[in-house]
Amino acid sequence: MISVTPRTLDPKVKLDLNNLSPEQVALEIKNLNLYYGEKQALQNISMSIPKGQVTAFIGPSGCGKSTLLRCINRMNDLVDICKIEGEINLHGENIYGKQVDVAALRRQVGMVFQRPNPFPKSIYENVVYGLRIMGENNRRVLDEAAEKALRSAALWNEVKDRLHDSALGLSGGQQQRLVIARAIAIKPEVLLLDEPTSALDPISTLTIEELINDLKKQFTVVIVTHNMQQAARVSDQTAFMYMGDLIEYSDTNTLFTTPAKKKTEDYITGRYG
Amino acid sequence: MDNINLGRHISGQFNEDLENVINHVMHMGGLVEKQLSDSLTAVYNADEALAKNVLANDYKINALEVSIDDECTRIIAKRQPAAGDLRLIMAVVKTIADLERIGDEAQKIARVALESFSGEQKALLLNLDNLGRKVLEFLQATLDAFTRMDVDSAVKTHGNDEKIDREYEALMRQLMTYMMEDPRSIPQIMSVIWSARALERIGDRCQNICEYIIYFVKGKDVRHTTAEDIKSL
Repeated sequence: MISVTPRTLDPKVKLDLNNLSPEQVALEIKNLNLYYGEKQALQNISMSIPKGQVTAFIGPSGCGKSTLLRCINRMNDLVDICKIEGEINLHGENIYGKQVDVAALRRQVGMVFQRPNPFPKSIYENVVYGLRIMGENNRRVLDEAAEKALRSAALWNEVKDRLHDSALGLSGGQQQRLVIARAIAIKPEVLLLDEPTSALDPISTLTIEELINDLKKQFTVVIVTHNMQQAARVSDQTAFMYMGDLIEYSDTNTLFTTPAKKKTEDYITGRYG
Repeated sequence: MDNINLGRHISGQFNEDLENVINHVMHMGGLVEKQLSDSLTAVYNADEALAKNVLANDYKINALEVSIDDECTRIIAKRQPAAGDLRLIMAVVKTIADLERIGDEAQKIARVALESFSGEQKALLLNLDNLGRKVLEFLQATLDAFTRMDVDSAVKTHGNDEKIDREYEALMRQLMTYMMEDPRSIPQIMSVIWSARALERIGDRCQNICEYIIYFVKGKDVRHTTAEDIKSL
């Protein structure tokens, strides 16, 4: 953006991540601590994730970024030794509250993993799987939803003539987009992407990145990535984590040009801290 | 962020690339400084041979600009620098453009030495030399701040330009008086004016380089802000 006002040293007005209004917030994480047995994997994480934007978590292996992502749809419930304190609020309601239906939560907060994991069914059945489970059997509704999801996932043109072929016949990049289509077919509010391109070639990676940019018009996207340039390209906010701590959380342009913390600087410039 | 360390990248090759770029900029700075100093000496001593030497050497500065630019382009393409590394590359690309222009200005000054001046007019050259020495010191302080990436001395040096501007204006008034008194001297005085102008421009370019140093170290873009803003850093 070109600024035409006289120059001053005052920082430009940006989305103030510490001071979002309730309607700007998609997810609010409050004093989140997570332990795997004795080991504390997340230490007092507090952050607000804004609505309709892409937020990236970056950091070295074992820093807790995937763990934090998995907390958002309670995937860590599946780990027996995992203990969680603190809150994650979706619509002002703690998702770790006693009355929360985890299956319903996961319909609101969809997730895509590192390796594409299509079901051994047709392309069409993969996409409408969630809707069928929710009891939708009307052929017309399913057809429409499948087309819409596949279009949103930028896959429609490639598969529209073979919707009833096996999903396993698609390439890795196509499978990943199919899995994204499956996740968005049930219209979640938040889409969690856990290193969605780490198993893909550079061209498929770019297709997915392009797709992420389109998806944020409809969903709030949270992405974990090992690829720093990818975080820089696709995200609006970036959170840098290190050894279970949230070190720095700011808008991506600032974080990649003038990070405030030495640790962030060292990590994104490829130095050992 | 204040103690920027160029080394310690996991990639030793990246460390080496950045060190090379810095060394080349310092080498280029040294050459430019020599060109300016030689051009001032040539004018002061009416040393035609030295002036021709300055004119002949400018190509070296131009060549360095091109090759450092090329190095920076390669680093951006291969390493995708971020944060401090990115700011360093941006600062270098801009600094060498200003250094190259300072080299051109030095050439303009050297051309004055090729003119012939009457005894009376030589007094004018003395005043020009005064301004020139101040500008040379300004350039030296700027290059010194760049070498050490010292933001405090960059801020301090940045303020020097104001003095240069005042001195330049005083010299201009003096030269205009001479021209009014003796219109026949106008051709010679004009060439003194051109070189005074060149010196003034060098001051501006040194100021720019100080701004790039501040940008690299502090991450703040202080171009086109007020002197108070810069001092408040």
